[in-house]
Amino acid sequence: MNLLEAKNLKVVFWPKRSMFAWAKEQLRAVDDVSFAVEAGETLGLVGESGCGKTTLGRAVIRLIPCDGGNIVFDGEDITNVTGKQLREQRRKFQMIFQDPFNSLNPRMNVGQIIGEAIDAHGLSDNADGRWEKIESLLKAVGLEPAYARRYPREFSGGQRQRIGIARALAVEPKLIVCDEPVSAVDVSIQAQIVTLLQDLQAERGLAYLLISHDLAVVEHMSRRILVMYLGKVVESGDSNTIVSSPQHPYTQALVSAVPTIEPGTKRKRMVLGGDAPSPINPPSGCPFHPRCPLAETRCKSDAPALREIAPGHFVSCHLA
Amino acid sequence: MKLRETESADGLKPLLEVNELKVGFERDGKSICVVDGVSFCVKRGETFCLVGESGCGKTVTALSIAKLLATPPAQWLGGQILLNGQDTLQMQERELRQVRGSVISYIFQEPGASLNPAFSVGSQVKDALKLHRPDDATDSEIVRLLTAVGIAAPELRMRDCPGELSGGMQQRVMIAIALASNPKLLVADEPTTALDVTIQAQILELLQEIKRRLGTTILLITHNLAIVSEIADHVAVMYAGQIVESAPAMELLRRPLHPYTKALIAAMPRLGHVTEKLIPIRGVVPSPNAVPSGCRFHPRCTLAQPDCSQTAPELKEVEPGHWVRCPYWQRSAPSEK
Amino acid sequence: MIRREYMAWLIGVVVAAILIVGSAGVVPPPPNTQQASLSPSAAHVLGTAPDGRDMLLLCVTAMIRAAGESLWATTLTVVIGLAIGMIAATFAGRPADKVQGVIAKLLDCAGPFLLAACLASVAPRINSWKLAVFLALVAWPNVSTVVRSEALAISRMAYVEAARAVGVKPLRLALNHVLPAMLDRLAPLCFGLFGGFVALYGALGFIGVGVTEQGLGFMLFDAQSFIRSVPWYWMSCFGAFLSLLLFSAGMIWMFKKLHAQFVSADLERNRL
Repeated sequence: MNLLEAKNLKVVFWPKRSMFAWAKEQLRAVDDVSFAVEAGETLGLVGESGCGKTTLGRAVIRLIPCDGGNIVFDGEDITNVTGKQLREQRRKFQMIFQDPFNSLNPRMNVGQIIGEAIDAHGLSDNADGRWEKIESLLKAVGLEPAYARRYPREFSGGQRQRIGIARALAVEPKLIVCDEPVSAVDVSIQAQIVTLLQDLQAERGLAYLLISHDLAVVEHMSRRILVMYLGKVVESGDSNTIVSSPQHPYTQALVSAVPTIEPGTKRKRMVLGGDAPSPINPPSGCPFHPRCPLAETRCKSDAPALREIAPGHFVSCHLA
Repeated sequence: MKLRETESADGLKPLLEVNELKVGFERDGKSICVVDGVSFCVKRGETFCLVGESGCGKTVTALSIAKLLATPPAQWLGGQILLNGQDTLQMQERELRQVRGSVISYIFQEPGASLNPAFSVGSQVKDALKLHRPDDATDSEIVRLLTAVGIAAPELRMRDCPGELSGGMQQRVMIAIALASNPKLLVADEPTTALDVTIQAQILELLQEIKRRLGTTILLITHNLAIVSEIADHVAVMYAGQIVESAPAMELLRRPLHPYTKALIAAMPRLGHVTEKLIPIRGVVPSPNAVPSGCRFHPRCTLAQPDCSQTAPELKEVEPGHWVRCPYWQRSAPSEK
Repeated sequence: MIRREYMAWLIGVVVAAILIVGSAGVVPPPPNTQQASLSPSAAHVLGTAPDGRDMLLLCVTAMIRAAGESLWATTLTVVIGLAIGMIAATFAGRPADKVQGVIAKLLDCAGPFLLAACLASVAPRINSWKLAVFLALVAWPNVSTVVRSEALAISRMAYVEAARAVGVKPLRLALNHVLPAMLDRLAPLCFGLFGGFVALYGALGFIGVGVTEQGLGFMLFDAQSFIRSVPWYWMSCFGAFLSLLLFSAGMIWMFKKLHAQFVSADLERNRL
């Protein structure tokens, strides 16, 4: 049974140009995206800036409204739920944020930050039980219980990420959306956080929606990967298949652009020309065609549909 | 202490020689040493990488070469930096201004922050030209520079303001400005960290091309060992203000000898090697005012011996061209390939 | 449990309330025609007024009352502006917010006219405490625009988004996360408003519009010939006193801010 199912999701922004002009063009941040996450598994969302993965992550847990499609979580349709009902649903899914320095309120100490999550859902009846819960959460993420009295500024980036993870775990969610959880920390801390997330997943049966631009981290943690470009899914499938034999030209370029430690071998690299596209003026037809080395005439006019070319492997390219 | 042959095959001295550089910062009356006895050599025409995590002192080292640090709070505690034979640490401001730009140029991590948002890109390139090559400060030269860094339609782009350009384009403009003065040494401090991975690939290609065409020497500062693998000729790994390992790039990546280098490689997820579990390094990078006694890495080292906390190891050449700051480098570690 | 940031403001509000009530009770000395228009002497340091009151006492009384009245006007303005600003930020972009924005802009342009109209409609039965209400009704946009933009900016911070994701109720979000972060920006605004209101009260009293007699403006009006004849530094004393009042209050607030900054910077450095 799918824990989270998103069908034909659309998120649209209307960037204001000036005080007097209405923006005629909409920014299609997420354009007709569908996917599913099973309980206990990790789905990776990969793409570069402007691809819409961050917007998708926030839309799926209703931090921003959707303009189309629907979201079903644990059998319940949460697309249009608001107010108190939505807050109750929030117990089931949580988020950890990219920036460890801004995602914790500097005016609250660690205990208050985690305690707020507990209080928001009334998960503890007495002060002692609440305190015990906070301490056990800190221990679960590898921090000393005594840290509960300290303020975020006294911690390093990696430790702050752990506090953010503890906060997300406080409500006992089934799914956690990880928005670039390791982009802002050093390599040695990255490994700590990745290992922590994997251990927590094994212990608690958590599902993750992992959003990252770092393909190596995504491949390491996810069972399946979705590759996004300009708001659309261009390829999706098993992480092994995507990395070892990508079918979409963008995925191929992405895989070949990731620098790897392979001493002695100079890989044949596929370097993409052109710039990262602006989502405000997307190209006609296939959104990737201006930068695609294999583009044909029909790519300019016809947008390719997402087709299943092998069991579980979907690609949106005329030439795949 | 000289880390490498001070004369390359064709008898030329190295372009940059850093000897026992010590840089400190003054805080509340105390002096905190951020770069502690760093020495390395960069040969002409090569790409030298200084690798380390945040707080290891690599950026401070790079900025010290052209004395770009504000002297309070920074303090030059010792050492010498020979850039093209001249000691920049002894130079006065006027001499340094001559050196900056004509001998050494910098590009930084956030191109958006380094470019003035109020002026057009072309005018900023022109300013750079006017400073060092006033006779060549013409529009055609600007177009030539912008083309050389791979900017399409440069005649149109030069009238744009930096805010209208993407991150990759901004970085290319930065490189154009840096190259405008024909420097011998280009110092790139994390030039691709803020960019998408496909754009990063383009910028790294561009740097390689510049090296090939113009013979510019490149000093690249990064935290990403994988980038090192792609473009470096020689690598030095820094930790807590010191160099812990230095070797030709292929050699270091094929056979890392220092426990920190090995641990870094084991902690990086590698594309296509998903079955290998990531081995995190426990603990955190020490802050410069609370540096561990003896070997600075010993609290986090899986190979630590009792005397690692007592004696600070020296950087020794354990194999030809391969320097390591660890007396126990020969003990095998779990991450050995 | 009151948050730490609110404690400082709570204390400030209590002190202001004491000052306001206290200043209302300050009464100038009674007239004494036997001592009319005396020159400065040991008993009357600044001499006496034409109606026999001690000049120094008159001045001090006027200043205290001016401070109290302006404090009252400031409090009202801040309360109204804060409420409207927060509501506007909550409904940003929607009709209520747009309407509020239009009214605020109108008041910016036409505020003085509206004030004059209010005063004309109730004169001469006006007193300074009621005048404060009019002033607040005209001056609230100064506070609400700042509050609104700060609230919107703070709401975009990652920790507010994180609290929303956790399921914190909107009111709690406002009180625990948004409001504390903007209090620092409000403090200098309050001092600025206070100074402005003192000047405004003085001006209105000078032109004879309904403030109590022996108010600052009235006194300045009565003392015109005196003002024109004495050396400049006499008049400066009044301004100096009020400036000192404002300045010292501002200094206390600044020292607190600087201390907090040093403490947090120190911690940042040690963590490095």
